[in-house]
Amino acid sequence: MGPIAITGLGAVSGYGPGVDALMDGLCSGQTAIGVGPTWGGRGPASMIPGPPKTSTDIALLVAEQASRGLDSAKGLAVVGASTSSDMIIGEEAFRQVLFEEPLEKPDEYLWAQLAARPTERVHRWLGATGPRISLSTACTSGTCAVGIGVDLIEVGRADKVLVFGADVICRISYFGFHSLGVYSQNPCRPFDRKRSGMNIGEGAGAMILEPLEDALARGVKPLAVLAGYGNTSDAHHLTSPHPEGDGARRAMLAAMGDLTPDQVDHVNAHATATRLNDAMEASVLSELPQASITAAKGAIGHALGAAGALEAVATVMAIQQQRIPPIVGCSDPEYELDLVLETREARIDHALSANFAFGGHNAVLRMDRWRP
Amino acid sequence: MAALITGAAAWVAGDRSPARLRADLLSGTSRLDQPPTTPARPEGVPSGTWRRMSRLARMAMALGHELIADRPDLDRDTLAVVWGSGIGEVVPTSRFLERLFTEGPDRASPLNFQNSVYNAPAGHLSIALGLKGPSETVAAGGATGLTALMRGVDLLTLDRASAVLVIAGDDHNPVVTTAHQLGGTTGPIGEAVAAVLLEKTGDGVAVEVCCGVDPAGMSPVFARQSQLPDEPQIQSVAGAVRPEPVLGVSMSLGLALVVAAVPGGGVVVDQEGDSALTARIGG
Repeated sequence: MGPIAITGLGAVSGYGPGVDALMDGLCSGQTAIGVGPTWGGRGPASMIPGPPKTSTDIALLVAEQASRGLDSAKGLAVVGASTSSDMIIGEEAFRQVLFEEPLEKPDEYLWAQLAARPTERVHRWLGATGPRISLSTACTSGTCAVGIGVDLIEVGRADKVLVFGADVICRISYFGFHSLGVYSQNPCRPFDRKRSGMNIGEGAGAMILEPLEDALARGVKPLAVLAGYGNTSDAHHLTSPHPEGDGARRAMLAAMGDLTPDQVDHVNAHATATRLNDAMEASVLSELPQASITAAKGAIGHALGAAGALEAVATVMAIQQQRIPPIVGCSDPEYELDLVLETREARIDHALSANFAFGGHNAVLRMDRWRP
Repeated sequence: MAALITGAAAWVAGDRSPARLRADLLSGTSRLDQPPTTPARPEGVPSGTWRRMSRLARMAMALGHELIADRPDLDRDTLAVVWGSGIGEVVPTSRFLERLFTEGPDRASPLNFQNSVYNAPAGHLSIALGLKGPSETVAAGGATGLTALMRGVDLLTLDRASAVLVIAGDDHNPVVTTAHQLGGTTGPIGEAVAAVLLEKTGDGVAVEVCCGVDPAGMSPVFARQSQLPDEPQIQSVAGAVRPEPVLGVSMSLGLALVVAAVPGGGVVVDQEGDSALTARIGG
């Protein structure tokens, strides 16, 4: 199998709908982290503007954006990722059962937790005839969705793939990170000396993947080339990263493939702004001497199952525009890396996007600039 | 190159041998009167880790340990785990929510939170068994079992892993029962967790997975029933062996059917709504 092209993008985030809103928002240096959910009260979060939505709603939104350039859904596979799915509905049904209140949506009790639901709906809405796979690997979900999409094409199960990650904030994720003691009471500050933890965000990102030769044959100019994918496990701890970043490093090297460390121009880091993650990741990134590093979570929060997809979309946009958005919230860097603190024009031929998750899972994507 | 199933095990009620499971499915012998069981802690799994795991994760751990504990030849650094669960970790999730709603956000349990994520069993497996290869958790509703198997076959085919431990299942508990009742499911609720070890070489049974319903040419055919009332399955499979009367209704039965097919060969069809997969085992 030859190179795989990225030929469509979709996004929705705290900056609103659209990939331009995402990239312009990131490059503005202004955070989209603000007042959290109405039922929250335990710290700020990045909410999608407008009335509350479900993960399925926003998955459909970004699928529509990304698929506008497709001429057919024949042979199209859908790989979707979510950690909370539509649990924002399901947990209310759970509460009503718990307190013996009348059930407004009895069939949503627990079934709204099904991670498969957004993918089923998107697959059906598109009329896709290829396979559908839904996954939920916590904070690497969106990254793994892209990697599985690559695999489906390489192994010959699909002609083209829509991949997405989508998550809205629910009580479990919001209060769960609060219970772990890692939730910041202010907009988070990745890689900053004064960082005090993370904030969650909601959003969705989507991509269309197809063989490069197929894209060119139908006259479509690729936005970038998906050139590598690494997926490893730390085998260390359920919620803390390996302190030396063993698994993260192996995932990065697997994604880089034939690239040498000095050929990596840009990295969109996971950078949750927690003490342990940022220290581990900085150690691994120090091995890429030419990489200009950004991170999105100070701008749009940690979008959990959508983070990898949204950050991959931002990386494609950085390659397209040859400019790198800043690490919003970082003003006093703790690490001697080329951390981007203001929007910067840059030559980007090879870029990585990295995510790490509960369970000690690590996933990294490599995206290259496409040249005719 | 075809993938081979070099090990298979299932955690279902009663005798857990693949041959017995196959015989019960073929004869329609119900296991529904046998109470659910919980595995004992496998040797080498720290007691502290075991205490913190859900019952579902313990069943997955017991099966994973069973398939690879006596295989020092397997390269743990490149061995992949594909975990599948249709409905996820509902017990830790419900415990987290119950405490949240009754005692408030500041009393919410971090342990239940970290165990509530779909991929928690995969993480526990990786840590306890020292598995450092790729890790994926698929959650494809009623088609979870064969979706996990397909991913395992593809990881092996693409050389992303030297071997793949595929485990899938959902457990039976009061929360799931309530959900099924409220959702309109008819019939008894059951459970099954199953595991297969996939390798490229060795003493094993060939397995292929294709998309769609294609049971022709082999028998028996095992096929689970789609449970979503608003999404009728795309094709009924005439003459198929149905697992629900034997094991009860459970979302991820597909991989248990694969385990049942290993001893003598067969076809497994797994479908939910308009998505279907077929696995051919042996033959």
